[in-house]
Amino acid sequence: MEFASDVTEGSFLLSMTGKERLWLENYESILVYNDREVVIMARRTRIRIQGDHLCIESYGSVEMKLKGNIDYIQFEGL
Amino acid sequence: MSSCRDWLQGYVRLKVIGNNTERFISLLKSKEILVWDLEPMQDGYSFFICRKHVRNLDLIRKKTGTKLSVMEKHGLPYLLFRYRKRKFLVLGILLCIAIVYYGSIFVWDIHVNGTAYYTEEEIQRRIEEEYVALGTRKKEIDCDALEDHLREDYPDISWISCELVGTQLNVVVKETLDGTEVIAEDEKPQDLVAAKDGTIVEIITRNGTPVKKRGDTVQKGEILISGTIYIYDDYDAVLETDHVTADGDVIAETEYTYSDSFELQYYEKNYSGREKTSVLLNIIQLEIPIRMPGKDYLHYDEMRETHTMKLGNAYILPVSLTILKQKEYEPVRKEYSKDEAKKRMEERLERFFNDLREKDVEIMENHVTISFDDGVCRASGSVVTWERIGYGRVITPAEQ
Repeated sequence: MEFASDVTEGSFLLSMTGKERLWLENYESILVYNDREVVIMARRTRIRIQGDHLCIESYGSVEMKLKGNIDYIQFEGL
Repeated sequence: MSSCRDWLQGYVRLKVIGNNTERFISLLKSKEILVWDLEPMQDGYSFFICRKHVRNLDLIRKKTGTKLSVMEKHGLPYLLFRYRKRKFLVLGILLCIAIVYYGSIFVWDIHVNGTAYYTEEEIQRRIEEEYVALGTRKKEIDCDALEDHLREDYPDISWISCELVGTQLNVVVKETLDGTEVIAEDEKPQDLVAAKDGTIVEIITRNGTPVKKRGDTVQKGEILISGTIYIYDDYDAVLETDHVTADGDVIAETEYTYSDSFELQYYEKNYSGREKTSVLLNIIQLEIPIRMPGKDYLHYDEMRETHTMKLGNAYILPVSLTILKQKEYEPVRKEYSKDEAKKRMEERLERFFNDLREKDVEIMENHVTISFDDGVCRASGSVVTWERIGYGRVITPAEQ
């Protein structure tokens, strides 16, 4: 029986609706946040989100929601 | 739902400034504190947070060396604090809500529509006096029983529906004196019975067994077309019986007695142009005068306009405002001449005939005579008509 890697390895979960809304789970912290760029630290990965009018709708211990005009998402392995 | 919960608990908008604002935000996550609408500002970040978490931020603030300031406060706790010296205002609002809620469990209005022969006020008065008074609790009202009572009281009404909507009892009726309007309630077997006395002029049977023929005199309640049909065998013995919805047209000659009178002397109203307006507040059955300018005129017409308070369309409250307008007049004594009186009486008779014609009654003979005696004009006599007299009556299981 296989378990999902977000459960076993603590990998982040990212989902999007269009390019306006983004949900992220299993992240660790925010490194950079302004209205054009958000950089989030997840387990062994740095997630860089770039765009316009970026705004964090909610930020909790489990999940965060981001909205805005997302143009670019980059994953930097550590 | 969550925004309602946040409002009830209270929430604030904070601004965090300093060198380690990102660390501050990350520590919020580790402390499992939810924030929302986190926005970057020129020198830091602003966010919304529940009031109950605000005290937990102190430790994080000290750890990160940041500064916090409150930008906005929202929610019930802050509202109550703002009006802490206005306790009676809050109590008054709560009392008002409680009264409105309590008022909504009673019926405060009865609305009747669909009448033609009977007036809506007549049926409404009957319901209020005999069955459902204003102020009755809604759960004490049995709409089915009320429908049965009204059908017994008004046999000309073929269909009645009673429904409670908000604080209003809605009664919809359908009248018929037309024998072709056979009401099939869920296809129940029915007889076609006479709504009044008469002599049959024509009978056309579409369904059922006719028990009367042309020329027969019938009385109110007699069966005209039976819903019971018999199936015979080859020896003309009844093999079986069946019950159907009787249908047909039964036209009978009936007679209406007409009687009317009025005095030749009458008073004509000569309006002076003076008017007075009073305002009354009605709470349940109590009338409280708000504006009552002086005493009434000696002779006046009074017009009453009532505006009932309601929430939405169906929640009628037992509070209304009545505006009374009085128009003064001087009565001037006059007398009709014989020709004028005869013409007036003929107009009233014609209105009576028009009412009958609207109900599909054909006037065949007019034996009404107009006479004068003792300063009174009288009209009396009979009117012979042809009309449909059948209506459907459900065959009860006992009759079957």
